[in-house]
Amino acid sequence: MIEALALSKRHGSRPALDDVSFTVPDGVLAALVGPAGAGKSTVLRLAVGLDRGSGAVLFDGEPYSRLPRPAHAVGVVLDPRALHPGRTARGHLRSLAAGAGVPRRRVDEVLEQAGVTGARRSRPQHFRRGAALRLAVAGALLGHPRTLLLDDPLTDLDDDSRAWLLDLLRVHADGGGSVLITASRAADVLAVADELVVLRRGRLAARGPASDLVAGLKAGVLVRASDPGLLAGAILRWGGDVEPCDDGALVVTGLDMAAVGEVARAEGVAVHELSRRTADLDAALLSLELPETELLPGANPGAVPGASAVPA
Amino acid sequence: MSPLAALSAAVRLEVVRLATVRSSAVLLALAAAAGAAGAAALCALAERADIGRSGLLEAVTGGSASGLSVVGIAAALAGALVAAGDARHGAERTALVLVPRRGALLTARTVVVAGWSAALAVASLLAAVAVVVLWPQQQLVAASPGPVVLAAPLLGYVGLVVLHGVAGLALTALLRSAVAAVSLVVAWPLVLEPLLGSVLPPSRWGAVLEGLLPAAAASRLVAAPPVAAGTPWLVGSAVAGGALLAAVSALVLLAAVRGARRDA
Repeated sequence: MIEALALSKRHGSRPALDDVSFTVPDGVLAALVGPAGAGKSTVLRLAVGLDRGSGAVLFDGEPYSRLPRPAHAVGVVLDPRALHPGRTARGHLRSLAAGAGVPRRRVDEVLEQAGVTGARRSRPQHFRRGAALRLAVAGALLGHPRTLLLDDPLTDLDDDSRAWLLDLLRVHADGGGSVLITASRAADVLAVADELVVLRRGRLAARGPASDLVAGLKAGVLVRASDPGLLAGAILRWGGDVEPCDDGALVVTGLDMAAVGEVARAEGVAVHELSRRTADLDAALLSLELPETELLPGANPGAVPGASAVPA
Repeated sequence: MSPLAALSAAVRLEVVRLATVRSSAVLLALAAAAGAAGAAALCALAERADIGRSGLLEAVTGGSASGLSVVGIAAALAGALVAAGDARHGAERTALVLVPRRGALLTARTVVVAGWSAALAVASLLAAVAVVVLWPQQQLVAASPGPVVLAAPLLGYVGLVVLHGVAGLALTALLRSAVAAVSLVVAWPLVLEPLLGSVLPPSRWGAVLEGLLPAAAASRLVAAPPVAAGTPWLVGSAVAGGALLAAVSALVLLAAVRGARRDA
């Protein structure tokens, strides 16, 4: 289990993290989500003692620095590109195994598990992002840790490596381990994360089961018409809500696609486009850039009713 | 993680890191080649001129009486590469994740760089001795004092190379640049220390102080003792070695303080 307790960190006068607390129980895959600069990586760096800050992160009740053998309890992937260009992939893992107190034979096991056995004699400076990440994950798995921490593992990842990684993380969590990953795009983790922890400007904005967060988002109908103003007025009269877009399109909620078409026909407005607009959690995350009060459930279309919002 | 367990893990990590990187083999070969080349040059010079009783010592130590040797520079480069590799390739964060104790990591790194520098010194000595022994009709061995007299300066030479390596490591950690660190190691005995010596007051204490500056202390460590030199010479060499050790230790301490204060 991972417990983050009142994490705070300042970069000069600017707060990078402000009193962030959350828990990732055993058997749960959680994702720290938020736009760039929200403080996601800082949480992980504080967790393993790389950054100085206040608060604590406990792994099964112990801070990272007090774990007797950290690599056997927590597997960490912070920067997959942190590789010396003069060392082979296997040499890199050998050095990690030596530091972790893991037998050398385990290196070949994790190379196979990560699907990079063929590249073990290669120097990894020219590895693609997928191969570099697989090597980094192999290093994290050396000590058979119960907990995994991965910083932004899904960005720029090829489809094969993404599928492999998400499957590995899912299996790890289902086996009773705790997994905490960070992601800038919620869409990247929705399919696999059990819980989301949403950060905004270093503060905890919302947290809760991913399914609740998605259920709280409204789907809508996108319509482009010859007279958007006339159509918007008619939709409001028919009981729908309208949100105009910058390009002149309208996003309609409260009416289904057929009803919007009927309204347009009744008003004599030509329809140029009529399509279903699915719930977009990333758009909702962007809306979290609104003032803190907007985060309260029901306060705006991007709010997340199923989640526990954290007031300022 | 207990301090002892952390130190043990950090030493294992650094040893395997050193053993699995290409530049280690290159530096070992460079040290041996430098030792052999220095010895060959001194052997050739001895055929044309009398270079005195310290000729053999100069030959096997690569002419490091100035306080600077090619192998010392190679050791400084080895130490600098360890620290620079950490900073440039993110290896420091990886190491800290495995061993979350900064003091243990720096201690282990210092120990490993010291050991590695000693290996470079021994490799250069062995190569140099081989060249001297195989050089046709060389007179250096015959003119040299016995092995007992040579033992102290040879040990001093190994110690000097070790301190060069550790200085390279600490300076790189402080300056965040391997090039700047190695440049400083090279420039100190050639430029900076003579400048510093020129501003010291011409007094008895000024002369004592000048003798304890790093380059002067280094040249004393590897100097052949004069004829009939006894215990006072050894004491003087030990004091010089202590001054040099103190200077390098201060650099390591500064690096430790700086490392402890900042985020990795």
